[in-house]
Amino acid sequence: MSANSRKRIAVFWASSCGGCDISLLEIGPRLLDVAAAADIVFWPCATDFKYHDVEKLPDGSIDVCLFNGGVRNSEQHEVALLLRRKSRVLVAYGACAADGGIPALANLVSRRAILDAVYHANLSTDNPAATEPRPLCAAPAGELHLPEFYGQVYRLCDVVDVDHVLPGCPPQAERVWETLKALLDGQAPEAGADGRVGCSPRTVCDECPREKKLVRVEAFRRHHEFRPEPGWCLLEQGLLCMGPATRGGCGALCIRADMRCEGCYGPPAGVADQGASMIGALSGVLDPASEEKAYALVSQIPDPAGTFYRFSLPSGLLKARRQDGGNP
Amino acid sequence: MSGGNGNGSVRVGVFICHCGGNIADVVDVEAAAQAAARMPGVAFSSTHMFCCSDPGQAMIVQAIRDHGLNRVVVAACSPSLHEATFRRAAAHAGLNPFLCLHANIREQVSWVVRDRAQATRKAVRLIRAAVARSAHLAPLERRRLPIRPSVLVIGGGVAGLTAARDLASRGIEVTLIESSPFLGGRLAQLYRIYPTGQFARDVLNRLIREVAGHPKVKIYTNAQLWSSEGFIGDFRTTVRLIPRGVTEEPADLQAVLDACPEEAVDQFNLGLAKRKAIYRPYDGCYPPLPAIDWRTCTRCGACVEAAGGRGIQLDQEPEQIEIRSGAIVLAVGLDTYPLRHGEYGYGKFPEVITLAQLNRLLDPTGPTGGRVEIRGRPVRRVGFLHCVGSLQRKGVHPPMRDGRINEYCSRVCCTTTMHTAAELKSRFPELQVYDFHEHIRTYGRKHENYYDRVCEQGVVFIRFDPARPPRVESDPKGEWPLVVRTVDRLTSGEELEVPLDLLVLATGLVARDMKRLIDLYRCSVGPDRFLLEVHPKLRPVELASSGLFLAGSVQGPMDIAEATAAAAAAASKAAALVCAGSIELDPYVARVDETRCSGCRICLQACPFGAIARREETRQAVVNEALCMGCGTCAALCPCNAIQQCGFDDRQIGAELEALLAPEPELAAVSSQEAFDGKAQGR
Repeated sequence: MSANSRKRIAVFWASSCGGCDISLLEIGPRLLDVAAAADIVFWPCATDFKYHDVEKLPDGSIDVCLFNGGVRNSEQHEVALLLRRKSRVLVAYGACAADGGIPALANLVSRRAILDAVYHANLSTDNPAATEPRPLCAAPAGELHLPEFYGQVYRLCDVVDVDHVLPGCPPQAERVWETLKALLDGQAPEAGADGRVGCSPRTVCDECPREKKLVRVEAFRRHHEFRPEPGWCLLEQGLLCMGPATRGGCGALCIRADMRCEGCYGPPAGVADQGASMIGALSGVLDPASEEKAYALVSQIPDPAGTFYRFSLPSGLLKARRQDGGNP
Repeated sequence: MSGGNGNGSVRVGVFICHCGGNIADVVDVEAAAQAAARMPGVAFSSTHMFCCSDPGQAMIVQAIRDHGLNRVVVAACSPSLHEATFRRAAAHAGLNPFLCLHANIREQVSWVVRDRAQATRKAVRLIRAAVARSAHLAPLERRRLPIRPSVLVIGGGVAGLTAARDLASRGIEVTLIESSPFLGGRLAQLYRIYPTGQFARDVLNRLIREVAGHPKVKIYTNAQLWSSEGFIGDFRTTVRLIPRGVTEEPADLQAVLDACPEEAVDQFNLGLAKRKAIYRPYDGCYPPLPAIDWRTCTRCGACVEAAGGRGIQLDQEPEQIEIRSGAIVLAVGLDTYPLRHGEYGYGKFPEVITLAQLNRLLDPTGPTGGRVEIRGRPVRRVGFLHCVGSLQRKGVHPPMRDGRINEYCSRVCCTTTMHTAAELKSRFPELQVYDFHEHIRTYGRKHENYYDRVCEQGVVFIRFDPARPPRVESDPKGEWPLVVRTVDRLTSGEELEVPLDLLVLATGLVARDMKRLIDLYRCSVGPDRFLLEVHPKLRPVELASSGLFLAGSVQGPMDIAEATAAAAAAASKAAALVCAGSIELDPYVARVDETRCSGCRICLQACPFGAIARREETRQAVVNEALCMGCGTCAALCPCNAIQQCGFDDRQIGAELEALLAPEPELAAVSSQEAFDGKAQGR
């Protein structure tokens, strides 16, 4: 890592859980190498810089910005635009920035339905005045502004140009370090055919240590129902392992811990729709004796949207329910 | 194959066919040709009265040469009709034939769209899609495979024997394998057969003589399919030969049979008799040597002793042989419907038997010497019940073990019933015969005669209601062993109670358990569980897997005449294939991108032809191009897009779709009219 000119790093969280911020810490003592080579100029999770501190920086003066989380409201949208302006290299970091992630499953329902659930219908909600957050309201102290809640979750690349996409929920530490090191050295990180970094050109199956017996799936099962047989493909054991339709790079971490792949690294290179891709793959391994049995088998899949599109709804063909307004 | 390639800039020629008036009466072909001329990449466009005619083809060849075309789009009839014609024309002009595309504007446009403007718009759209796709085409080469001039016939019943005879008579080497120890299949169990009234055994013996004596035929009985490798042109089938146990005809067979202490149900006589562990199903069977039923035999050695220690070996090991053949004929036949215990009284009353069992009773060489009697009691009143295990209805008939019911007509049982009833009445005129049916389907040539004859003979017909099938009960008065209770729709739903001392169930026909066969050869199976041909009219005896042919009732219920005809057809198709010496296959094979394949093996399990294997060093998929039939299943299922099918890759299909779905610049006037209409309807 070159030390002759100190780099500037920014990290931001938008519509995300904070796990991505923590995943940065997972690189361990190598954080000291980062600190030696770069100044952190903005990291709301860890440092006390404000938006106006970023605004004061010259445009293009941040060398690397790691942006995690999708864009759900106008504040996140504004910060995305700001950081894009201030950063030379903007990285969509983690599943939410890359593919929408779990928060984007809310794209299956309308903004109205979300507001109703949160502010009115919830059993634990006590809101007799039926108050709802509004972008603008008059108060004795003057006009109050709140960020506008958009009709859907957007990926970072839907609102600004992105230089690199680093998928994963969260990205795995080794992959983060390789990517960060290359960026701090001023080099382009190794990218797949679709330009994504910190992941493999193949799928999780390529990294999976388990073997198939080439039997057909006769019934779907869930983790609480049984203990998977070691060494045997989880999909063949009836667990809906998303490995076949998921970008590799994690090293099959979950699968090595007897858990099915949930698909967090998103669609494989060249695949337009991760869920459709998995559904296609499933149709080749199911063993339905008849049409009725096929229906019965498929109806065992709990929460199909949340299973097949857990991390990538906006990256697929479906993207979101038809909007009721509030788009950027 | 000739090969002008697709390099350099794309120059598409579009040729639009009038098809007489078939297309041009509805589609404005001249407007379409003008629209095509403005499409990106199109260097030439024209129309012709009949593109498929010699002058039409000559125009295409000339245009390719004159205008330096390197892609051809012909908008005409269905590609299944003339794609090959236009590809030949393209090849004639020095172009790789797979750079020629076909847009169907007859079946998909002029024959189904009435409005001229709409039809023209749709035709232009299809042409534009073909033009867009053609830009991404690459030259392809057909595959050529040598064919081994021999055929394996699986199944030694009437269909297998017929196929073997017909193939051998053309000078083709035939290997016939039969899983049981004796040839003949179902035919051997029949008595007289319609429509000739001949003895089944006579027909069979003549057939066996023709096959067994033929120098080109090799027969293996007691031969079980073990494994299969290879593909069209060179199948390598491993067969496990179960020892017969008997190597030499015993001097005194009766003494040997008497010596055997083990008895088993005689399946040949359909459970109506017992036989020994060492047995021969009937006199005159082929091969004539007795065989040992190893499931019953205890290897006690009594038979060896009775034979004087010669000709019987109880310690032979099974042997495996490999049979190589250019094609395979599947003639494994079918089964009769498996009756549940108590179904229409079967198994509950000894007086309820099947039609097949009655045929064994009528046979003078059968278990009763030709007498129709139950437990020694002669029969006076007989009933026939049709459609047992056929034409079943959901909610009326309980499903079979695999959860399914047989909704189809078994086709042969009606005529067999009429034929058998006629035989009964002529041999035992004093018998009273009742016929319980839903329909009578004596559909074949001369089959109706049997119906007429039994009507004259005084058989009483009773038409039951399929929603309330007849019930078989014991006679409450105890005078008769059985009564059948039913409504008769011929007499406006009269409730009838018919006492009988024999009820014959015309059981339907079902597919055999062919799991092994289906797995080995990746056969397509129909919803009725019989094997499925490629097309019932165009390719009626071929399986989708190349080099496999269907002979007889493996494909569905057939009578002997039909099974023989089907077997002859299969033999002739197989002969045409193996005599050709080599075969050309389409070049639409699947290809694996090794930079993407992650070894999930979804494709390997999904391939209906077993054409995909795993390369162990890389754990990646590899396609055997000789086996690949270009169905595209793997390309569609591959979850990481590592498989593309030549001629149908994502770029080609993507370009086609984009052009199909894009707005229409060519016919702007029509589009705006449509927009106006849309507004007027409040869209």
